[in-house]
Amino acid sequence: MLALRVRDLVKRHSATAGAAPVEIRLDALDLEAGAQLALRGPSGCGKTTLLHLIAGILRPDSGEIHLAGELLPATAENTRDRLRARHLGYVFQTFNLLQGFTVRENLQLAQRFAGREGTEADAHRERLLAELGLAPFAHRLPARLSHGQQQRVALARALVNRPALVLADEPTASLDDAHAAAALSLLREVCVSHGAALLLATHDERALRAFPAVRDLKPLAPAA
Amino acid sequence: MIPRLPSALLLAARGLRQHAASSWCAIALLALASGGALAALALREASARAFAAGTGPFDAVLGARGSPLQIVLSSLYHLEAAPGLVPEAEVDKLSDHSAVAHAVPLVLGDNHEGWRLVGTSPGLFAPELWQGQPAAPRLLAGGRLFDPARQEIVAGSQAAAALGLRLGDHLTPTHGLDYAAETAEDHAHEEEFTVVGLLEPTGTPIDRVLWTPVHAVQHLGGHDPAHAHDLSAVLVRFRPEAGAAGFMLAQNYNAPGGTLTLAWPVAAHVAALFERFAWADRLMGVAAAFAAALSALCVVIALQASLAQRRRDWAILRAIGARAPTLGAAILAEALLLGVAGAAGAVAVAAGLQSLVAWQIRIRTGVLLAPVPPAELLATGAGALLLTCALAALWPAWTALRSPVAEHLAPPA
Ligand SMILES: Nc1ncnc2c1ncn2[C@@H]1O[C@H](COP(=O)(O)OP(=O)(O)OP(=O)(O)O)[C@@H](O)[C@H]1O
Ligand SMILES: [Mg+2]
Repeated sequence: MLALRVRDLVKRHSATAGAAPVEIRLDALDLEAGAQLALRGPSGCGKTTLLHLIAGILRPDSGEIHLAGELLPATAENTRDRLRARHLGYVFQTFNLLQGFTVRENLQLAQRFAGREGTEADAHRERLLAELGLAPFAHRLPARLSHGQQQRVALARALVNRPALVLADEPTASLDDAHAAAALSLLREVCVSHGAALLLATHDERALRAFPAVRDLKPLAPAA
Repeated sequence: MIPRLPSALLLAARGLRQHAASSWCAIALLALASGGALAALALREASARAFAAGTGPFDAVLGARGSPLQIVLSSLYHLEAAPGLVPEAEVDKLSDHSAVAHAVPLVLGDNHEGWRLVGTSPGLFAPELWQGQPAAPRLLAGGRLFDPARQEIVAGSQAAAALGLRLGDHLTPTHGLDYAAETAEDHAHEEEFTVVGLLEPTGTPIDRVLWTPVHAVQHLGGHDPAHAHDLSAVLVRFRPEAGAAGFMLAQNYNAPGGTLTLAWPVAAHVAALFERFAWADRLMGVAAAFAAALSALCVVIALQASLAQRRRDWAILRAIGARAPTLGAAILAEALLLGVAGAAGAVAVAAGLQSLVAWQIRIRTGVLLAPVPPAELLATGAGALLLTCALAALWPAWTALRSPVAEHLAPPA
């Protein structure tokens, strides 16, 4: 089964102050369950936009996105929210942890939004926390964690609902070589061990070198 | 671990906690503004009711020709001076009138350290006069009524408390209605009065008076002997079956060329008094409306501020799967939580303000106001506050529902 299938995706950003309108396109992209792929492209070519479209937090102007075999509808926001919560984990460059909730609660909230609560869900969450070395910090607020620890929390939260697909946006951008390598291999390992496909967007050559498959994005086309 | 609350409530509670400082500010503003509004409304009610009750069992007051309002104020509320004198014979004339049940004489003109000494007859304390009244002047155990022929005092509760009077105490009154310490020596009478009775508190102006026999005041040394048979006012209570007698009596007394005025009906003159304060009443109304508007504004500002701080949090929540309606409900819940806390504070503030004002009014006028706002008013106020909060949250909630998730995901530049 495909974790992700994209066809004829088009997103137009209207002109903003000082910038012409742009059109971001992705003709076709298939990602097998558990596969890993890097999207490469210079800054501003539309990587983040594509990940947002796939996550269903942006609406495409046209095209189709299937997540774990289910079509992301263009209009029904509720359904997009539900599919995102169940099938998708998102690792942001800035982690985007909820500062008012502890590490454990960050994961718990994600589980709750996906409708996964109960003893089985609790056990899975605690296993994940332990696996990523976060158990001793589970009761802490994110602000009281190191950069590396926060990244692991972001990763744990992305995986807590057993997603079919993990999206990662520039996960190594602000790290030095050693940390970038460590973070990347952790990301790839846990995705493999949890059976999630990984789609990573970056222009960081260090990250790209580690990937088995890299997809180059076309430069931006001027909007029609 | 997250508590087992509905998500909206959980997010709301955490939001308030995370921004505790601004939450407390909002709650304090809400409590003060709406508490003030509630107190203003409650005091309007309470003072009108208490003032109306201050007339006691009396239907009319006979005084010297002059303003009926002044007659009522000086004889029933013990404020200001009487407009003039009334011949003592009027008491008998009134008592003999078929429509009159009670006629009680009053003589003013002296004080003890600012507390009025008022001459009257034992009839003022007749239990049948006070039947059916919410408060009646009753003697505390151990005391007795003054002997009409002696210089004795039955002290109102407030005057007694302020002067520290006990049974058997002696005091020397001063001429005049108001007390000035520096001239008190010159105006002091020679006579000594003895306290023989103390009254229970009634919550009416009776509490502020040192009651003494008419003759004791009339014959005080230094008073003009020519007026030794004059009164300041006669309080009148009609028989229940008297019908139009009040109208007839008032017609007679108040006819042009007369020397006396019958203030009747007393209630109408008290109402007229309130008319005088209509501007203050309106001002209170405006203040209440202003405070209410202010509290509504508080909610909007508090929510807008917290929302601006939290746009990114909302976006993150959406990105990890929270549905838009959940966030909208969370904002609504947050406003309502602010409202509940604010309403609790407002009730406390209103009760505090009212008891403070009631205390001051009691000290200054002897009028007893309800010390706390009525429960219905508080409930209505709290309900209105919650409704305001909910309405104030609609716009921020709508904005949160509609705001594009992607745009707020990036950290603030
Ligand atoms: N909300 C928006 N409105 C208008 N234009 C936008 C909007 N968001 C992105 N763009 C434009 O779309 C293009 C792609 O932006 P995007 O953030 O997807 O690029 P990116 O490849 O992720 O860049 P980077 O590597 O710097 O993160 C850019 O030209 C950007 O200016
Ligand atoms: Mg980007």
